[in-house]
Amino acid sequence: MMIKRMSLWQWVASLVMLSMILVACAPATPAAPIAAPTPTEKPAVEEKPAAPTEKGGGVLIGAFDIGPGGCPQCIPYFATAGHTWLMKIWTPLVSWNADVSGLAPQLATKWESNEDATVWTFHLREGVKWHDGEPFTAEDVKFTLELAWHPDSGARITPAAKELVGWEAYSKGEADEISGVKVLDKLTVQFELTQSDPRFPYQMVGAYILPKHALKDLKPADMQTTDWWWTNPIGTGPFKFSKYEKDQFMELAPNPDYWNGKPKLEKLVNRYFADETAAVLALESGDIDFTYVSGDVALRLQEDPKYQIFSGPSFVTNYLIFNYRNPVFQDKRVRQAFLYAVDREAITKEVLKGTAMVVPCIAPDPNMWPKEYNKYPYDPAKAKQLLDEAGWDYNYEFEAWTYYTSQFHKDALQAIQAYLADVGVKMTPRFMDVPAYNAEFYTGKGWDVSYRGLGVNVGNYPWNFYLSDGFPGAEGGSLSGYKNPDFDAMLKKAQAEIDPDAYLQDLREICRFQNEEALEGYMWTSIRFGAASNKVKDFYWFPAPGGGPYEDHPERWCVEK
Amino acid sequence: MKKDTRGVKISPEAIPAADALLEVESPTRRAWRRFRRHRLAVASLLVLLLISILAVGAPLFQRYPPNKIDLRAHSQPPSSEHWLGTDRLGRDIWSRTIHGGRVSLVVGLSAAFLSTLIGTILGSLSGYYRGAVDMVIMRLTDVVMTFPSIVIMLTIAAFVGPGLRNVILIIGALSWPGTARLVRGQFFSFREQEFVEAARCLGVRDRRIIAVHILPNVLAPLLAQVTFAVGMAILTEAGLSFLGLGVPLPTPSWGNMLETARNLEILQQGPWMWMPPAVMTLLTVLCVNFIGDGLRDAIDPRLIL
Amino acid sequence: MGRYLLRRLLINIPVLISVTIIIFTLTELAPGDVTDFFINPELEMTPADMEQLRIRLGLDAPAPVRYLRWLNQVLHGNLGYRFKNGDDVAWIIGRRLQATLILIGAALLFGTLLGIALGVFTALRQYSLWDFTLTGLSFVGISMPAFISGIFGLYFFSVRLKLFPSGGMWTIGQGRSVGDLLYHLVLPAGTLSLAYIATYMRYTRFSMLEVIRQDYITTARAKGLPEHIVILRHALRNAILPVVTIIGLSIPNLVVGAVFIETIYSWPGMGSLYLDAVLSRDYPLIMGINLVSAVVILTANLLTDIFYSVVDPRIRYDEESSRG
Repeated sequence: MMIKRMSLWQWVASLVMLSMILVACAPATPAAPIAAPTPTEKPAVEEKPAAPTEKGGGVLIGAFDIGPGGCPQCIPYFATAGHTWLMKIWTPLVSWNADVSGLAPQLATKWESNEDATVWTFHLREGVKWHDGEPFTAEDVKFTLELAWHPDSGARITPAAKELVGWEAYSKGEADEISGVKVLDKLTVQFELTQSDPRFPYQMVGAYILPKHALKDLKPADMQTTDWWWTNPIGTGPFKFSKYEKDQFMELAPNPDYWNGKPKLEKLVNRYFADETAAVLALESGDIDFTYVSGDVALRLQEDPKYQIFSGPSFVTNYLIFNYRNPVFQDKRVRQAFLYAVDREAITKEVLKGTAMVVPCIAPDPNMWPKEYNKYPYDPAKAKQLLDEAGWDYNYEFEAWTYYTSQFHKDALQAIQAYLADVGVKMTPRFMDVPAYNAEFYTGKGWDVSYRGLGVNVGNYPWNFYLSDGFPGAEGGSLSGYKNPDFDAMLKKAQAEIDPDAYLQDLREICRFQNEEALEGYMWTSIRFGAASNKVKDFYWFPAPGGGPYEDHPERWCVEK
Repeated sequence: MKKDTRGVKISPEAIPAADALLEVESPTRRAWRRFRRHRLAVASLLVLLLISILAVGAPLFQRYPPNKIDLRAHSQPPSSEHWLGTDRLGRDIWSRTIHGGRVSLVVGLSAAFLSTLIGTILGSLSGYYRGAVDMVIMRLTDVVMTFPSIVIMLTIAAFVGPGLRNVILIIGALSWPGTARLVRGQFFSFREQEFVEAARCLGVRDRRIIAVHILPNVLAPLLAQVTFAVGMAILTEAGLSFLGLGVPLPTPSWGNMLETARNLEILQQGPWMWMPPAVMTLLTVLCVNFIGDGLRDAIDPRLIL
Repeated sequence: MGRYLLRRLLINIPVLISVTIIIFTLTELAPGDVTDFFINPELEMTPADMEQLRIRLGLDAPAPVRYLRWLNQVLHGNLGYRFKNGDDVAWIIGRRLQATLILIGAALLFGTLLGIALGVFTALRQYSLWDFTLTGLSFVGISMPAFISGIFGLYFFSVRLKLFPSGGMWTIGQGRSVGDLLYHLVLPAGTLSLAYIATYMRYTRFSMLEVIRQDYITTARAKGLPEHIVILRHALRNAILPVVTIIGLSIPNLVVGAVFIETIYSWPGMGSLYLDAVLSRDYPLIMGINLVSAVVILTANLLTDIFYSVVDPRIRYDEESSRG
């Protein structure tokens, strides 16, 4: 069962940005950039290795992880980002498809569930070999999950793990296997869940499969500290590990046995940069061929024919969350006034230079929006009127917390602050670092408003942020202090919905409710960018949520010499 | 130009003799006369005065409120409308720069006052009592001095959170060791002198001897030290803000205006957004240092700080 | 002398311990700990997950216990592992220290040589146009903080003139050559050395002026010794003593003092590592860096004292106020 493929590109295309987005690959390689995958797709054996006359191969150097990169952050299950790179060495059962609108088969070619979505069966790809030549089997899947989701491993335990039958006993040390993960035969693995989860395969997107034969003696507690990851890692991905230099780069060589065809590149290098600035300069000096870039840089580079720009939605919505424990925010008119007071269109257009799009609710994906909703156009007079009606105290001062440090968000929050000041609302931004923010924000106490981001897509809806009892750690059991049994019922209905179309309809209803209530101050979702040199052909990049792996066909990438 | 110019120069050592001839000139007047000879210092004093007037009277000299955004006129280069251009939110750089001067001056003066206060108290106690008191205070000074102050400041600033008051407290509480050492050294030399002995014989209490008899003698060299401390405090605030740990946005401060230059696009495309605060910081600190130098020469040319 | 050194050495131990206790206390008082750093605010995470993480990192024990655990570990020669990614703290510090030493070493070397040379030059031409210009410029050097000189350097020499790379330590894929390192080193070390040049020049000039007035210089000249011998052999040797102390005093900044330059030029050194450690509440690393830097500083102070006492036998050891 798969969620119907939804063309996110339709809305991206509608943006002003379009002109800069689709920079076609050179005509020399006529193949379509990314073919829509079908679950039964066979390894592309008919695609011949590069003919000697054709300029193929080359070395592609990219900044695939910005910020202090490299190992041990190169370890699957520990890395919080960097999936674009992890996918080159390791492969999960399923990944996102190219535009992150649905799932694409990877090591699993097909998957299906029983009636009530409590048992999921994955059929694995035939003939896949590990980089050292050993065959890949269902045993590797079970081994991997029991290693990574072992309580001693220290890896982030994904929601998928907790849904598995037997995981609780396993995590307490009462069982030495996760009984809900069953190897039916060499190429079939089955997952039994404690509750219905119609979207379980989405939870498996980041679960890279590791080789049992190479790691069977590894103690789970050593998973994060073993140097195997950067000395001799073995995967099933299109590229094999070849060299790693701490703080500098990791180099990969093509895997001739890759199930989707031998990669054309001779080498693929991930170079680490301290920040975007350094990476962009390296791109401009020709040291590297690809990096993520901010909207500013993308706008500048698109004028230069030397570069191709890639873009897509960030799947992160920026919004002001109100603390309902503070009575002043319980009045709907106050919350709506905030939306009327801020010229969100002007901010996205002028400050964010069209690299963001105004949203009606927490969902950043227009597929999840209802047809009709309140747009809350910029109207300071109306804002003032609503504030007056609600009896707003114009001497009341409060802070807006944020953990953002990028120029983009600093500008955005200062703009919001200035617009609110224009209607007499006194809000002071407070810029915190991530640990300080998390330590206080999640208690639900001490803050009034926070400017933050939340990742939302069809596969992962942040139910716990909205359910009245979704946040047991915070005061009163919910994050914002908002409690509404009707809204809870809407959320629970969607959560349990098995039919994809009905599920989407439920999400739209939720969106309509959030929009009308101005449950939160919904601002915008940003578009993220990557830039590659034009020497790179058939390259593909997409800003996946949380860096989750997606289908990018690296075996087709090549660099003109 | 003559190779050996020593004969031409009025060496500082020659001045006491001149004073002896004049006899009537007070030390303050003498210092002022010497200070006026330091032309750079006098010029600096004038420039600094101008900067201070602009900063203190910022609301009078501003053309727009410093936090007034104008999204239709953002990122504009200098023009007659906006003398120094606008930033990414369309805020007037001229207004923000002169308002930023207020922050710098407030931080510079308050932090220098605080550090001088702490340094003078500890230094006096240490230098007057010597022995165990001195030992303890000097070890404390060692601990504070052992660390490049920026490390401790980074640590504390990250932990207590940004804010004008916190920045002043952090800078003030960590930059006193130099002052303490200077005052201690002065006390060492004064406490043995006859007038102190005499006071002690008359039964004057220690606290009074320190405050009334010795301290006024230390004030002159201290003055130069305070000047340098103001310069250091201004730089430190700018540095902390530059790393995002200083005065929080949207309050304009030179440091956090400069911080935007860490973004390559702004560095490259909008030099008018970060040049004014950079130049103002440099100019202010330069003036403060010249004045300090002039003061030092005027008060005690042999003192090297 | 031996007893004096021993005493100086022993006095350092309580200083060192108090420093680590202070730093530890500060990290304790800070809002949020490393588990909070691990939460991505844009994804979901439950309190149970956080508790599990806290136990795994040993954060559930009371603070004094954790301090003693840390101290015990250090006494056994292990600085621990980074919370953030499990890196061996000693290893990462060693690696970053190397980069920082290259950067600051180059800046210090350049600063010392040029600073002393200019100091001597201006002292010999006191009140000349050169003297006024250079002394004036030295004030600019002293007043210019690293983040301003760094930004200016980056803007003019990298962005505008494109003479040097904008950051990093090596060009990738070219192998590591000394030439490549120097190419990356010029801008950061150059901008960093400005303050050193200015400071050392001022001290050398001041000190030279003092020495030149001394009788033995006049005597040496009267003996008919060539001027360059008088200056280099007699004057400079004596004038350089106070300058050595000042260079010694620059050492505290050696370990993490280049944080601005490292941030601006993405130099993989200790300063940027420390900033990262502080922002992620990675206290094994915060403690490790502070310990290493304290040891370096205290050793440097001691060495400066020893050096000073060797070249200047007039130093007495009965007063403990001999530090510059």
